[in-house]
Amino acid sequence: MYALEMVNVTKNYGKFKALDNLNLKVKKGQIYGFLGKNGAGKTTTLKIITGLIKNYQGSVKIFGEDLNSKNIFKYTGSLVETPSFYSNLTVLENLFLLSQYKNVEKSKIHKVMSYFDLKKYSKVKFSNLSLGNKQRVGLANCLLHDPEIIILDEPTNGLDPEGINEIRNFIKKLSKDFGKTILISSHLLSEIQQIADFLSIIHDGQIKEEIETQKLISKSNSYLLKTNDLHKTSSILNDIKIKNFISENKKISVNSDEESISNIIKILIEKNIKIYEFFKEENYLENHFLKIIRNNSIDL
Amino acid sequence: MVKLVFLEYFKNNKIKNFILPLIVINFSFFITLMMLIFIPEIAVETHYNIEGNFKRFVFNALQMSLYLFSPLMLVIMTTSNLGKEFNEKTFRNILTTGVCRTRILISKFLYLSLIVLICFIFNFVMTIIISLFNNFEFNLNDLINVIQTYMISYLFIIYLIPLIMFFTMIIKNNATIIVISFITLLGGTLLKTVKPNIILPFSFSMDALNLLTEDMPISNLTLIMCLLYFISFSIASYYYFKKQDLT
Repeated sequence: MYALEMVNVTKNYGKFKALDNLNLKVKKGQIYGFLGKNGAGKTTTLKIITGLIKNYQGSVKIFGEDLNSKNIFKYTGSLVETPSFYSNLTVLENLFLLSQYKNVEKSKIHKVMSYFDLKKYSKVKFSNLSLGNKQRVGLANCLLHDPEIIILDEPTNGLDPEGINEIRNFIKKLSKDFGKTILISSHLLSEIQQIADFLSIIHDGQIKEEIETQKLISKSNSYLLKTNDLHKTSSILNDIKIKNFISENKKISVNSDEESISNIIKILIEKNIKIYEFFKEENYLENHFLKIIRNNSIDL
Repeated sequence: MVKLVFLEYFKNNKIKNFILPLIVINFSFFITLMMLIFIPEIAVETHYNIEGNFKRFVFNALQMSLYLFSPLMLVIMTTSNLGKEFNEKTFRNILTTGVCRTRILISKFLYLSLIVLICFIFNFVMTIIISLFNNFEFNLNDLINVIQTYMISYLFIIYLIPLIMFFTMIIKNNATIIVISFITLLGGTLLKTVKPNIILPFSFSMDALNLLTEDMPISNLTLIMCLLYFISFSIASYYYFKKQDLT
């Protein structure tokens, strides 16, 4: 049984199709990264899961139970877009208020406040908090009722590098210490790459690719070569069964690990190929993401 | 449900719940009193034995301020309670807790009704105190009459809550709602003066003033219209809140 399962979910905003037969499966305990550019359908998906969007087609199940079932939201805690709390109330009052809606005992509030180091801000009004602390309050609210699944929509948006690092560590700890299933969306590949075990790329309301983050990173052993004859180089590499493609900037991208690349260079030199430039491809993941969303062929 | 109503009260910083309504009530009382002193023709003949112009004006002002300004106060309270949740997106946190949307909506209605009730009680107590200080001739029957008047008038105010709630949810802009309501209220009052038989949603509270006079009994049509407004906008608010995407 999946922690979260979405089957053929479609959502239209008038004539605009925000989600187009989206299918998503998240395993228990997984940190699932949801990657896509702005307007790809990430937030719409998360709003459906959290029950904010009611009008959609398809099926959404949480631990096998339909989203319309009673008490289904005991399984989920969410922070969608910016943390929105009552600006006139203090941190403690805000968490008390939400704990009452969730039927959570008072002691739990102090527990989550300690966990997120919020005790010193307990009597500070929410409006007076920094963005980083607001995010922490948002995360504390997610954990109040001890849900199985935590849904986070771009939780590091607008934070400084220190804040980003802090939130990232909190998220990792939630998975490691408490075994929570985390669904996190972002348009920042580098962010998702550092947090998620598994990631999917969403574009135009459809999942374009699902892959384990480690697999994707291992595929990022890619080198760029500039030679005197790109096509001949490519054909030699094809002959020795090395995946490659000619990039837009007239360089050849070679997929290889560090040990094999020296042999490849040796073979090319033996075949009278002159190598002008040779370096490790830096933005492999980013290029891969861009290729997918631009509908280019994927050559891994 | 009691807990949900308490949480509505809690959200608005406890004591602040009453500051705005009481300011509106007192301010409107003062404005109405001034209006009555400078334009004595608009004073209503009451069936209580009130002697002297000023005493009558004070009594009138207390009553009229409630009927004239309560709808506006209600608009401000509803928009600040419900509209704020939409504007500041605080609804997200509540809706994702899984609490039934209908229960949330009912708790807001009950909370607003309660605040208005407290303001009516405040106004009633003030009326009685002023009456006693001015040696009005009150007997038990008069007191029962006044209480009945307040009770019916209260119902003539709270029928507006679903209507304001619905438009707050649709428009989602507090300032726009307040301006529209203010214009409708003033326009309605003016129209009602020119054409007394006209039926306007915001002017029913004006009709409640009829309860104070012996010659102008409240019409069944007004009661039916109020009930219709209440039912139709309650259903509309329910469907909108229950079925729509609240993002």
